[in-house]
Amino acid sequence: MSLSKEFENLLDQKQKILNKVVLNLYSELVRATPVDTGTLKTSWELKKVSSTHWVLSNNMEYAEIIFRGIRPGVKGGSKNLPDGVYPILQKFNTQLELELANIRA
Amino acid sequence: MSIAQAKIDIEQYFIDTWTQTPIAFDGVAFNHSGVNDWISLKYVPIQNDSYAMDGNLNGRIKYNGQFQVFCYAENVPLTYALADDVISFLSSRIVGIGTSVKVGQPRGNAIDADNNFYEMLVTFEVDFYA
Repeated sequence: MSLSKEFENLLDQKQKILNKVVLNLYSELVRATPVDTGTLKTSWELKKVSSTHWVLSNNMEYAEIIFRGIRPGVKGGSKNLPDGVYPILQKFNTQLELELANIRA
Repeated sequence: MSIAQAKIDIEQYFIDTWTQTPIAFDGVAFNHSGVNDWISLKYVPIQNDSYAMDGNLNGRIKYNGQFQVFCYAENVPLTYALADDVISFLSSRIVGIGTSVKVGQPRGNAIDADNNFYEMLVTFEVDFYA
């Protein structure tokens, strides 16, 4: 296999891994989002900017209050998402790093 | 024991070394009346991985988790400053008997939390090997 073909193959593998992890993350965040009226859950938006650039957002004004989790003695949070979304982001970030590292192995 | 060890190590590090503000611990009653600022600590276990060298799954286990520090202060600039102090305090440290803490990540901006206090969350990825 030529060097350029090998490079293309590498990029292709990276892109497939990124696509898979992003879509799984998106599904997990939607699944984990607590429901009262359902507006917060349906406000997630996933946009592909380029082959390696995705934007995942939720523009509800109270999203940050819910997604940061429950803190005793302070308002906000949801009992259906007590730890917030940040452990989910860390889990998928670790998964992405591991899968990308495996390409090089 | 190992899932708990990272939490114990980091909380002990705060107890021994952090003097800047009062600390609220998970599951321990805390009253913030009369204080100007405080931090609130929480540990969330995330994932355990086997690190066996020979592939027989008898090697070490990496316990991965997230340490969350909620920073509270009376206005937005003070909240940002407190979050900065927490990041400097804990980032890239090895605490206790071998809990390694990565660089702290600020999450969102300072939000109005309660009773005129603002809140900013800083998260730290944590690894403990056993």
